[in-house]
Parts: sequence; structure tokens; C-alpha cells
Amino acid sequence: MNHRLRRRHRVAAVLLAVVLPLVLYWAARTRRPAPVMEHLPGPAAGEAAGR
Amino acid sequence: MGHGYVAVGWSRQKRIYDAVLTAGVLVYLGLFAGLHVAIHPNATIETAIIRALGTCAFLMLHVVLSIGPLARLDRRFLPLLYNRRHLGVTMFCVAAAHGAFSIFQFHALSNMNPFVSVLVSDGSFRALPGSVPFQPLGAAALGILLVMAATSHDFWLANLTAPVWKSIHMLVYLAYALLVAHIAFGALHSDERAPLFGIVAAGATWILGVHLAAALRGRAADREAGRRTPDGWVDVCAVDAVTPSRPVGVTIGGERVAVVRNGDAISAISAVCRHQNGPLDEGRVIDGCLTCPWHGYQYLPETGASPPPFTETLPTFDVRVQGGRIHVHPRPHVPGTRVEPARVSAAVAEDPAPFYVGWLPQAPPPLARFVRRAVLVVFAAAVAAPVAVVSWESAFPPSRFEFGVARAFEGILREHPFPALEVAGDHGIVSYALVAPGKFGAAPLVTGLDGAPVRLKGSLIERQGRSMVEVEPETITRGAGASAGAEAPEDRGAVTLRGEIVDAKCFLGVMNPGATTVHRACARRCISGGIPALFWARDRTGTEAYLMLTGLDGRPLNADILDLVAEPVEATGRVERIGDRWYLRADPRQIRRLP
Repeated sequence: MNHRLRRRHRVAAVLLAVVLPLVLYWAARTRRPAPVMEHLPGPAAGEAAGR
Repeated sequence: MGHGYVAVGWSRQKRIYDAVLTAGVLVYLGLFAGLHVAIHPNATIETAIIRALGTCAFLMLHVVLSIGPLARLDRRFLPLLYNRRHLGVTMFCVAAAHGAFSIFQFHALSNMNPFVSVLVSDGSFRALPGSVPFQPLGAAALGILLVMAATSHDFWLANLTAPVWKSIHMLVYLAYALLVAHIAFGALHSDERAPLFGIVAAGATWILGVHLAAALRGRAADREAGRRTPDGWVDVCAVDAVTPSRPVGVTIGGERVAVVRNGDAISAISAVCRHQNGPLDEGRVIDGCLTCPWHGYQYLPETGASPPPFTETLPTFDVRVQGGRIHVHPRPHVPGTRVEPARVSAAVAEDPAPFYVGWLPQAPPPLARFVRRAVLVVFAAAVAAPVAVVSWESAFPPSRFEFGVARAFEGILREHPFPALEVAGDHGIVSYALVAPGKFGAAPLVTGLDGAPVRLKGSLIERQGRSMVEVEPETITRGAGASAGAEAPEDRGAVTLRGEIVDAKCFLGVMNPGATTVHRACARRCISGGIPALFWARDRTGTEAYLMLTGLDGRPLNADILDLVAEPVEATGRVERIGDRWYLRADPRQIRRLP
């Protein structure tokens, strides 16, 4: 490989080493599955029971 | 090489490579789809296909990205490098199929151009950091892979020149980062189970590990080697350090030079192959030519020129032998300039390590055995990945969509707030919400029919006792009899609910999953097209409530809540019942995204 290409590979590796953990950390911190309530309140539970 | 144009220079090894590659892809897709249908029978088949294609392409990208650094760390991986572009183009095709299926599934048949929808329907980057639109990230990565696949042929390599071509293809690292984000903020973001995150993190760790290891190794070799003699030459190494099977690389002026021995002749030429800038100092002398380890390009050591009829040329360097040491002058000659080699007489031992040349009919048996073992490892990953991914996916609740099955329905039509058909049955009146084909509500189809007896045909959609019909528009006919008044709404009280706003059509069965981040863009298109917005709430006992969302004035809220669709939200309003249809009447200002 020429010098420029080798340097670019190294820069890419270092950038990935910085960016990927940040992306995964950010995604894990903001991960939000659909909420689950402790108990459905009466009126909404009535809908469920009515089906 | 630079002689003539051949679309694909097929060889036996290339055919074997492609056959194994095709078999691997088919095994993966078949296994993933089969497992998905077996373990998650409630999921729609499109979900299995989209996920099979997406995970397959992502795994293939890991293989593509691993080959380069592995070949730098261990030269026995070089045979895998020879046809890497076939692997890359195949990976793009699989990724493009994933993209095409996703675009059709989530964006087509809506009120927006599907290609525009990919960029805007999944939300705005203004919603950062809490909500990240993941589909534009995948689209950007696919665009990069498209450019790479389209320019993969040597035609483009020759016309763009190796440095430009390589610069373009370095974008694969940006594509990889975009895809990690696409998955992390998409499929993983709303998944209830953590192990899938671990799989993606492990893949990223592997890619980073092999690249950093290769970079560290290359960095040591890049240091300016040798010492200058008083007359300005570079002292490279002892004469017996160079053999025909083991050139010596030395960095002079920031670029590598290969010191080559051919019989009793010692020459020095640039170590940067004209084809893809491959490392000639890691090559070998074959038939009197220094041969590149990447793709077998050859150069005569004395002239730096490829043998006729090929036309590539490299810079050459003056070389001399003094006191058993090889000296190279740091000033290069014009590429292709003949330089008289230095002569030596001492015999040297050959390196017994096998050397792979892709255009030869057979790979050396030890290398072939190693490559077979490496391919088996990849196949093992191709079996383990679907098993792990499918096993750890979130569960899919029961639902159904009788696609292609038209049933006849007859009843009283209700236009407001959302179209519905009240059908008299053995157990009283049963309501079927009505929607149009595609991502559209049925309101335009039933205008003026409020309270009228109606016959229509359509496909049934059903989830846990809540039913909907996708109407065939041309089948709606007004029946005999007078219009009937609607039942009075019954207020069931105030409520504050935590849950998610979904589009009723997909959620009730047209797509499974029809909720959470992965379905966000589709839900926004559906709701903006007039399909009822449904507030979905559930509790720890597994009980679920589906309430159609209206404003305080009883009219659909669709346009007001698009930014909140498929996000965790809390809504305060009043539950209202009309017959067996349940609504949540809420001020849109009382619906907020949960932190």
C-alpha cells in the first residue's frame, strides 16, 4: 500500500474506535421499548375487557 | 492488467469463490427465514425477509472488512482478498434487496414518494438526542455501497486511477459506522431484549480489533529504515536478507521501496503496485517478475515495467552492494527506467512458505487447506448468527391479515370519527373499522354514507378481538332501507395512559411488528394518509388497550400527533365508548413524549 492509503486506514481505524463505542453507548442509553404500565387504569381496562 | 478489456476474467478459483459465496448467502437466508417462521409464526413474512437480508448483508460486511487486516496480519488470508470485490458486490446486492423490501413495505402505496419518505418519514434529526431517525442512516450507507459496487470493476480502477478509486472505496468505513448506527437506533432501539446489542457490539469490537492490530503492525514497518551513508545512499540490509521469495521493504521518503533479488541480480523498485497500490515488498519473484500478493500483477525488477503486452510501470532506484550490505539511492527514476542491477554471488536459501497467485490454476495445497478452514469458520458464523438473532428477537403478538381473501360484509356505515361498519351478529352489533388499500384511510370512500346500510367486500384484519376491514373500493354499494342514527357516546372517565401511538391498520395485523421504532416511518405515513391513530397501552399482566385517538372535538387527531407516533408517550384525556368502539379524547397538548 502507498503511504497515503496506509495513513487513511489508520485514521479510519482510530475514528471507528472513537465513533462506534459512542454510537452504541448513545443508543443503549436512549433505548426505549414501548412503555408498560403497572396496571391499566379502569376506563382503559374496560376497553380491554370489552373485547 | 493494462491489456484489453474483459468484463470478468473468469478462472477456476473465481468460479469456486463465487459458488461458495452464493451457497453461503442462500444457506443464511434460508436458515434465517425458516427459523423465523418456526419460532415467530405471528410475524409477517415480510419481516422475516427484511431481517434475513439485512442481517446477512451486515454479516457479509464484517467478512469484507476483516479480510484486509487479516491478510496484513497473516498472509495465508491473501487468497480471500483476491476476489473480495465479488464478495462486496454480492453484499451490496443483498443490502439493496433489504432496502428495496423495506422501502416497499414501509413507504410505498402512501401519500408521499417512497424515496422521499425514506428520508423524512422516520423523523427529524432535530429530535436528537432522544430520537434518532435510523432509516436515513441506512439509506446513506446503501448509497455508499452502491457507488462502491458500481465502480468495483477494473475499468473504473484504471480510469479513476488507484489513489482516487481507493479513496472512494475507503468510504466503506463510513458506511459501516452508518450501519451500526442504523441498527442501534432502529431494530435494537425498541427491542426489549439486550443480547442483540451485544452481538452488534461484539462485531464492532472485532472489526476495530483487527484493524487496530494491522495498523500497529504496519506502523512499525513504516518507520524510515536504514541509515544514510556519507554519500547519501540508504543502507537497507545485508545481502543474504533478500531472496527471490522474500523481498525486503524499506521506507524511503515516506514511501515503500522493494529490494528484490532475481538470481544474482539485486534491484530496487517502488513497492506500490499500480493496480490497487498493493504491497509489492510482500510479493515474490515468479518467472523473473516481482509479483503482487494481492492480485498477481507483475513487474520486471530492472525496469519496473510489466512484461509485454502489459503497460504498467513503476519508479526504479539505483542500487549497489558494498561490504555485504545493500544500498539504495533515495532518488527515484522515472517509472519504467531501466537500472543496472547490483550483482551478488552468494547463494541464499529459499523461503518454503507457499505463495498464492490468483490467476494460476491451483492454489498451493497448504494455502487451500487454510482457506477451507477459514471459510468453514465463516459458515459457522453464518449458522450461529441467524440462530442467535431469531432466538433473541422480541416476541410477536398474534394478529392476522387475510391478504387476497375478500369477504362480503353488510351493515350500517359510520363515517365519524373514523369510518366503521356496524354489523349485526349473533352476539349483537360488531364494529369493523374500515381502511382503504395501501396507507390510506377509508374516509374518501364512504363520504355521504353516514348511517346508511352498506354492502362491501374486503380483507379482514384482526388482533385480539379488535377487527378492521381493508375495503375494496369498487365494492361499496348502498343497500336498501333507511339511514340509522348513531348510538350516543358514553363517557367512561378521565385517564392518564402511558403507551405508544400506532397506526391501527398495521398494528392490528397488516404488519407484525406494527409498532415501535422499526415501524415508525410506516406508521407516520399511514396516519398521515387517514388511517386511524390508535393509542396502545399495556400493563404487566399482559392486558392491552387499543383506543382510537381523537381530539376534544371528537375529530381525528392524525395531523397533530405525527411527531409523537411510535415514541413512548403519556396521554391524558377521557375514554369514550360508542357501541363496541373505544376512543381516547385528548387535547394534543396533553400528549407528551416520555423522557
